Amino acid sequence: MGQTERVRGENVRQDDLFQDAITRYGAAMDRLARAYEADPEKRRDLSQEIQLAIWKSLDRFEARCSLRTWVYRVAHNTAANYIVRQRRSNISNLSTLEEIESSPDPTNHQRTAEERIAIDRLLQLIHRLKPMDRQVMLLYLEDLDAESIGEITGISAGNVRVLIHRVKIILARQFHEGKHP
Amino acid sequence: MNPRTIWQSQEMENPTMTVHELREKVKSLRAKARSTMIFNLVTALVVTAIFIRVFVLYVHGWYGRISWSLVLAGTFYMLGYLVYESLRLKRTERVDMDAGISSCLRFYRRMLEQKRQHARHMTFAAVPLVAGGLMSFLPALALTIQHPDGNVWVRLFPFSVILVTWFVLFWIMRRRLRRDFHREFATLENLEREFPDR
Repeated sequence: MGQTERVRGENVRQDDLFQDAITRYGAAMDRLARAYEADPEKRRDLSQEIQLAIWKSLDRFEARCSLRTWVYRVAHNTAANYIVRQRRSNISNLSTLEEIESSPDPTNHQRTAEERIAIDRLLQLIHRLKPMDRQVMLLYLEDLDAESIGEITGISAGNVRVLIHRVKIILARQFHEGKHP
Repeated sequence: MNPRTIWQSQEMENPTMTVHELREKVKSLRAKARSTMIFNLVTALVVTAIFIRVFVLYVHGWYGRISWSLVLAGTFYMLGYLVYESLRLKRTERVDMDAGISSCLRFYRRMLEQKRQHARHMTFAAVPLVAGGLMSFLPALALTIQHPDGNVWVRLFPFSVILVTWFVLFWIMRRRLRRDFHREFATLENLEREFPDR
């Protein structure tokens, strides 16, 4: 097989993997961009940047981890890089899960059935979090288990479980569920 | 109301890009990176050439030679670093390549270290540049003080304004950069302490 054909074959594989990844996780990547950027115009740029990073990285994907883990890692790392580059996330202004947990209980919030308000509230909460806590919260919201979150973030599964427990408490309090979600 | 359901029920806002669009975007990004790199190199080469010309034509005494040698050393260092950086893969592409392999914590650290390294190289270049600039400025300043009624200060004024502005800007930027790095590394170290790598 000639060099050109091999390169073409690799490109086809990369493109196929990208199509597969976007079909399966495109919506989650879109939500991730929302969690990192509040401004719609900039969010579109970030969304494109994430897609571009995923596509380029798939050239090196060797199936040592699942496609899901790979895609989430690239997306979260790209988003974190974006935050640092933009210097918008004045990290000292962001909070940890612990700080939010110990802040006053928003019991005076009116319960509303409108989903938009609930999403906005959720986004406000996410935007306040520091990068690593934000990643854990987002991955939890995407239904990933502790092992998968650990694989993506580099945090041990035990520590992820502790964080998830905090996330659950915060979310339950924010959404007045009465029980943990 | 389940937050997970609420979160996942959001409608897609931005369309996914086609492979063709991605290739086009990569092409335009590469072209942009190339033109930035060329601009940086040309600017650095022009500045270096000007300094060499000044050194050869106008600098004769040992004191002047030392001060201008420092300026030249700074510009050569900056030029060398720019060439070195340009020869390596472009920054954005390195980020993309590493992104899938590294866990978030490791990636975050590597990203910060790369930025700190870049800032350090720029400081290494700026120290001799600023020191040489100040050394070249001092004799003229001494002359002005010795002959306050002369017109040396008129000729000295534009140069001194540029030099002082440059020095102050460098100092402010360096301070801000150090503070930012300190804060970012402190955050990272807290995270690493709290969540030791597996």
